Amino acid sequence: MKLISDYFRTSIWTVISFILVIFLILIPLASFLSYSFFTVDGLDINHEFSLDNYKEFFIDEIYINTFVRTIFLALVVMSSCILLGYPVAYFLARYAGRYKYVILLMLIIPLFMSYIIKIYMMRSILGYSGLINKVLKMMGLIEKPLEFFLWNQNSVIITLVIILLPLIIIPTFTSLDKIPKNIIEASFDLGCKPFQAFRYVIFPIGFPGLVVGGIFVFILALGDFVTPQLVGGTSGFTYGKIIYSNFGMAFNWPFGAALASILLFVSVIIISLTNYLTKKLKA
Amino acid sequence: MNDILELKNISKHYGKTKVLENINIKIKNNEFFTILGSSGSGKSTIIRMIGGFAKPTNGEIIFEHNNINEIPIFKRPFNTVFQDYALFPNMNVFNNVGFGLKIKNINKNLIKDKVLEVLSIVGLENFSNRMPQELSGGQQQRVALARAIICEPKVILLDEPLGALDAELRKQMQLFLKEIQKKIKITFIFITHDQEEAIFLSDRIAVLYNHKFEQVGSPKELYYSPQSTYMAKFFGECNLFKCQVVETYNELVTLNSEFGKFKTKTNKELQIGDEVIYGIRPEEISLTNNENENSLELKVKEIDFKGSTSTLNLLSKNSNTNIKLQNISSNISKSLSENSVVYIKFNENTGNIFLK
Repeated sequence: MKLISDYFRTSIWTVISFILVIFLILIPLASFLSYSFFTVDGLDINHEFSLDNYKEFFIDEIYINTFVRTIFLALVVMSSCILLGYPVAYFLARYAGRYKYVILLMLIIPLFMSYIIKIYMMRSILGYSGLINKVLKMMGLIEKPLEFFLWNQNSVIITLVIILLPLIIIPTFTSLDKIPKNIIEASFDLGCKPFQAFRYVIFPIGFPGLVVGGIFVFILALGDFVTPQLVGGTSGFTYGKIIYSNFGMAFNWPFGAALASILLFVSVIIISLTNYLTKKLKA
Repeated sequence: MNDILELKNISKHYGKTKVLENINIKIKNNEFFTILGSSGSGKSTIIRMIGGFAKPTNGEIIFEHNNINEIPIFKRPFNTVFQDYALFPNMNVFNNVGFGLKIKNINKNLIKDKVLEVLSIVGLENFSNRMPQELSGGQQQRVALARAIICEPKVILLDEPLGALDAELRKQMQLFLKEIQKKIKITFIFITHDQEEAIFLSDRIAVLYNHKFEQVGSPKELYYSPQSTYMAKFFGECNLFKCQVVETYNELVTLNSEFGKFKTKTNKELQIGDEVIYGIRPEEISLTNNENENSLELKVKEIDFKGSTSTLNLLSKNSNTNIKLQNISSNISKSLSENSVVYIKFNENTGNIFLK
């Protein structure tokens, strides 16, 4: 028999967790959503229901274009992170032996650094008189600084990839590292050549970790506005930057909220879709 | 029966740690061969070297007259049943069992037929859609076995496959393994630390002790003709005591012990005056009613009443060495008490002599 005080204690914690979710997540989201249905009148907010903000998003090409381009950019960032991060996680989990956690820690350390500092650091590497250009010049390979990777989409992609890379490596490493050694041995035992063992056993079992990392990177790249602000120049602006400017500069909060709601909506759809596909793939 | 697999002078060292030293065995076709040893004795290492997961430091692994030391795991015609099953968590039972065939690019319909056939052999025909996590330990074990059987290997290596099961299930699985092995006629190399299990299952047993095989033979040979005092005490109990040879006559020798003189048969060459150790199992000793030519006089130290039978613990007259008798009818033992004098007799055909 459960004691009444036990019930009381359990219910108290349940109530507290519900209160936290309601006050810290649901209410802000609701107010956010409701803002997206208001309009601005000069510097005042007109609190009447209207779909104008959403209409504007679909009418003015620039928003949809930027949105599509930003999704594409986030996909490129995610794919690059996967291509670079997966091999690292794989070799770390399978071949780094007793040093693997030390190396992993070194990969995690950049996460403790300020995000802004990392972007400035990237600027000083990619810039006109940055490290890359200086080295190339010294080697006599170029005469004047390359502009390929500054103040455009490329620089945004490179910076995001470098900043977000640990987010792919960590969950992928964790899921690969958890695979028991004898499961891999069993695959060899049943006739797998090394590549087949990877294709049929290691990759599928480690896949969920890759998906988690991929979603992290995709969502963060999709909503990011600081990177395009600091290294993107004029051609490198993204959907996140448009949202930011509506709140920070244009003072059009309702329109910013509408744009952000659309982003949230699309993100949730993408996450659910990935979850669904992963489950289907597993069955 | 032909030999299928031979280990020749196999040694295995990890750095400076010696695990195995000069292992030699020949394993016959279709036999149930057990490697028995305590944990850490290196028995898993032997099976891992046969399977290709580890390389011997020295020596040769010979399969059907060919050295296979350098053949990679996936080309060896052996399959392993791992201790904790090692089923693929991302595949259901059907795909786990069919995996070995899928890798060999065998026709899908053929795989389906074979998987269903093998699943029915192991009694899991209704489980093909379950995931490994949804099965009990015993069922997972059966899947692991089915997954090995389906590849029709020449040898199945079983690395303590029953170690994780509870006692009841373990008994069931032992019976099941024995039947399966007879049915499918594949050589089983089985690893265990459990003596009873080894005796019950095996055609032959190799006992691993101190980095090498102490003795290899059928369960009866190991039980009745141990070649060392270690082996004598390995399966069940054995009374061991020092003796001196006082007379030899063909294969009959007379030994002098603390208990007195007695005669026994041996095929060992002994000289008068040799110091030896005589071993006899508690159930091979009989009580006699009175003193006669070949009987020894002892006094009772303890009587362990066990229902219909009792165990007697006897002491020599000068109280230094004790000897144990088992399965004495309680009808007889109830007339005895501590310190009563009894006469015992060793059958000339039982018991073993070990040289020091």
